[in-house]
Amino acid sequence: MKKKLDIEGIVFLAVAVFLITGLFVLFPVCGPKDDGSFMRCHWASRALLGSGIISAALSVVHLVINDVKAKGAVALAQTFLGIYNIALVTFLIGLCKMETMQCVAVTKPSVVVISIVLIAVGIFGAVRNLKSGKVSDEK
Amino acid sequence: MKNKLPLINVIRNPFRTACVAAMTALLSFSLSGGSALVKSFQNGLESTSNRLGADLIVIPEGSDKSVQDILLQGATGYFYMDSSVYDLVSHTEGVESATAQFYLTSLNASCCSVKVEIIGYDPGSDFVVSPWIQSQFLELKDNITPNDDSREIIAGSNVLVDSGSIELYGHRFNVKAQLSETGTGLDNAVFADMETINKLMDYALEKSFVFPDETKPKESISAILVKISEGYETDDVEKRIRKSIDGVDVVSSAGMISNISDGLSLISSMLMFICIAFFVISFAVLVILFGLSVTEREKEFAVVRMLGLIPGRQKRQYFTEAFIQSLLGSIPGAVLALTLVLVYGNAIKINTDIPYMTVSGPELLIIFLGTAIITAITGPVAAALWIGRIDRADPAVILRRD
Repeated sequence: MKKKLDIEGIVFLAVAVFLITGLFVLFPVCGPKDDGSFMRCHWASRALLGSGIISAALSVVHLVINDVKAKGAVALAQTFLGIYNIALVTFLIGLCKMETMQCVAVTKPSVVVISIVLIAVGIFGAVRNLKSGKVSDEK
Repeated sequence: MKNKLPLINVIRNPFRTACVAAMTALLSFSLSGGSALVKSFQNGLESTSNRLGADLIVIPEGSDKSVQDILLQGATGYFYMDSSVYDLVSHTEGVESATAQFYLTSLNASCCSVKVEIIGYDPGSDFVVSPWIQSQFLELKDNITPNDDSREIIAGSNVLVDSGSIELYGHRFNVKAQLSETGTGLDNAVFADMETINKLMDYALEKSFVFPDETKPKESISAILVKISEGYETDDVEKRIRKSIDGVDVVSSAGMISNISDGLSLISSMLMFICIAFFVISFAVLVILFGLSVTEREKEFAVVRMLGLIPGRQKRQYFTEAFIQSLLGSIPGAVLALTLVLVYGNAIKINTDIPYMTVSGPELLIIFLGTAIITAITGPVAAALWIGRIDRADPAVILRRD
């Protein structure tokens, strides 16, 4: 049987890769202070990097596995990761306080937008796969 | 069933629906995003025009770029001239009133803060800063100047205020009020009267702040803001000041606004070009899509007509279908564009040289509704070009074709 194109898995992977590369290239946080120490946003960025790597690994799992329920569970996990990313940049660690700082002006909105995409696709994938798995069980 | 037919057709043909929706989404995205950006820049320009207050600004020679950067872009800087220039400017023919300002910059303070511009003003002669403070905080009306403890300042909207105070040169200053956003560089400034500024200068010297050579800080000023008397031309007064006082430059507010307007016109033109390009492309693709759709569905239309659907109703259903497909794209496109403009507002502000003030809630709603409706009707308009084909088709002839 021909395998259907796993669009959700591809989107998850693309989002994760975009988040990871974005943190270094497109929307990096503020640099170190004059004395060499780091600000809060640096640590938030490190945490986001970890989250991005986990998201990428889960995306690969989603692409590789065939079980529909397992795919639904992975999609749900991606949803929680998206929520976690938003929490990281808002209250869990947070970023610099001044709104004109690079991390607040660029990094934060970028992470929020990416995470919303992750959450939306995650919810869609979870509902679709878990519902589909339930129907095939009943059959 | 008849009423639901357009919706059923939309759902039954997801690929066609997605194509139409994608085109209207693209159009809606460019139109709403472009409109929100232009309006935000216009708001910034209007705010700047209102806040500049003075007709002319007299500054030390060579500082015209710096003062514009400070006032418009929130840059920090300092430059000085002897305070005796103030008397010379005040007594120049055509000058109705003049007020002096003193510019200083803070050090980089603690974590997550940047330098702020410190603007000292004379409440006795001021006509630029005080009205703004009054208009933002009416309770200050009778008490504009700080009280006996000259450690109170007024902060711009972007200044980081920590527990009601900020640290400048190692000393904490109570923030008497924080002003609303203006979209100008003044959002990154703090304002203090001259007594507080004198204290700040002492603190600055303690922290080894280096004033420019030959500057006597307490006998210097940075800029003189001038209001011109009625009946006098700005250019004439400007020339008179330049001629009679050596070592100064004069910047006109109208000139600054005009420069910003030019920049804004350029941006508006570019955005309009992009919108028109997107519109032409999207509309062309929609026309092709609906044309292909009509050709593909000839037999379907013929069968429905044979079953008794009158042509008028059939046309209405066809337009309704096109409208629903367009709406499915126009709303998300507008929502996405406006969301991006809102969340990236600060990034746009700090990366452009033009004052920027994000659109307000009512303006946002108007832009959203306007663009969503305009783009939603492009689908039916494109579909209308093919309506004649549905009308002219003879169902019997179509159904007899193989």
